[in-house]
Amino acid sequence: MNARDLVLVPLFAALIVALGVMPPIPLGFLPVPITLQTLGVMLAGSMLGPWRGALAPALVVLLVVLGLPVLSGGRGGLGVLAGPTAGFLLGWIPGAFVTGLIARPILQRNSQGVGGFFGLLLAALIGGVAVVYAFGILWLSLVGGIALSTAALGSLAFLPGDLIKAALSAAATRAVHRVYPLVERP
Amino acid sequence: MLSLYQPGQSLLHRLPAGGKLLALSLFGVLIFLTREPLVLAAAALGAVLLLWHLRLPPALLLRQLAVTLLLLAFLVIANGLLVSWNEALIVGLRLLALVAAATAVTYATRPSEIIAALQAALRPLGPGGEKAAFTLGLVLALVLRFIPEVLFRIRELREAMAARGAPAAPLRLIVPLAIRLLRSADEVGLALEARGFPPDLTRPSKERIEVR
Repeated sequence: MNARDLVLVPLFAALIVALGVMPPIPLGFLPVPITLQTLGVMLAGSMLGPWRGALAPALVVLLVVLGLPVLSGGRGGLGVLAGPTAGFLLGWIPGAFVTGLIARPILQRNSQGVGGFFGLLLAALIGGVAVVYAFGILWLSLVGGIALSTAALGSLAFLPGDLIKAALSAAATRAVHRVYPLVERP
Repeated sequence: MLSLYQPGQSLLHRLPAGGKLLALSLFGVLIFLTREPLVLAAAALGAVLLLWHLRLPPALLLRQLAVTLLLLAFLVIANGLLVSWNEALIVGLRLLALVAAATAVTYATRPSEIIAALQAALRPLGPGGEKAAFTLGLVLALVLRFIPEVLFRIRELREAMAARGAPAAPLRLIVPLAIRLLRSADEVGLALEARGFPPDLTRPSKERIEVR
């Protein structure tokens, strides 16, 4: 790992934190403004690749352990990790990893066509949505003592926002990769 | 960025950070091994008393715990209606004990002490651990330096967009933001290399040389 690799991890961790702290962006057609924190997780995975990508949200989790209010709404501290929604936070780490795993070959070949966009969208949907939800719902069900289906139903409210974030992640990754490729060709 | 830590003189404040983290982890495991409502009630009461004896302003606690408490209430009601009220009691007490104890530890432990405890746990693992402890400290310093910078860049871009009358579209913000941040990553990376990164940890460092 060279110095630039080492810098990219805290940089994307800071991006994830900042996207949660900044005032939420109204999306017009959605009734509630969404925070973009999970967008940062998807961007970390797809722009940095699986390993560096997973380290960025892991660093955010470490900041939570240290007691810094780095999550959306100024939340943080060990209480979040002990709470029933901790799975959604811990799921960021494997989520970014899986996103990076799927996005890497797409960026290495050709990401500029229509197929490139849908490939990156699929990466963000599987890693940043499916994997994160799987961890979050499983944790909520185990800790909260409720059935998996009930936990899944409760999480559905966040799905529309996350689908939009996955599309944003794919479009942004493609645009940034054109000028600033971080994932090197093999 | 300010941490949630609140200065104080309580017993919990004075315990070593590593010990508190270990005890909290152990507490988290143990509490899932029992289903006895009386034991869980005692644990929850103890945890709430621990939080109470820190004498924190109630508004502060409420702001931090409001979401969790709402969800906790929802889980208790859902369990009561769908499973049984006995199960609801177990789940509610267990989560209350965990969240209260964890929150108490966070409010009573300085972040720097937690970092020092983590580094102290890594160092005995040989050269790899030494390197990990060093990297951990550096990466934490970098992320704390980057958070205000990213926030500043976001505000700068939003103001530029507003000045041109452009609507606040997320994609128009994210792409230039990412490119600017990647540029600054290159600069910081070069600055680190210019200052001798990666360090040669096999050489004795200044702190470890004992002056007699």
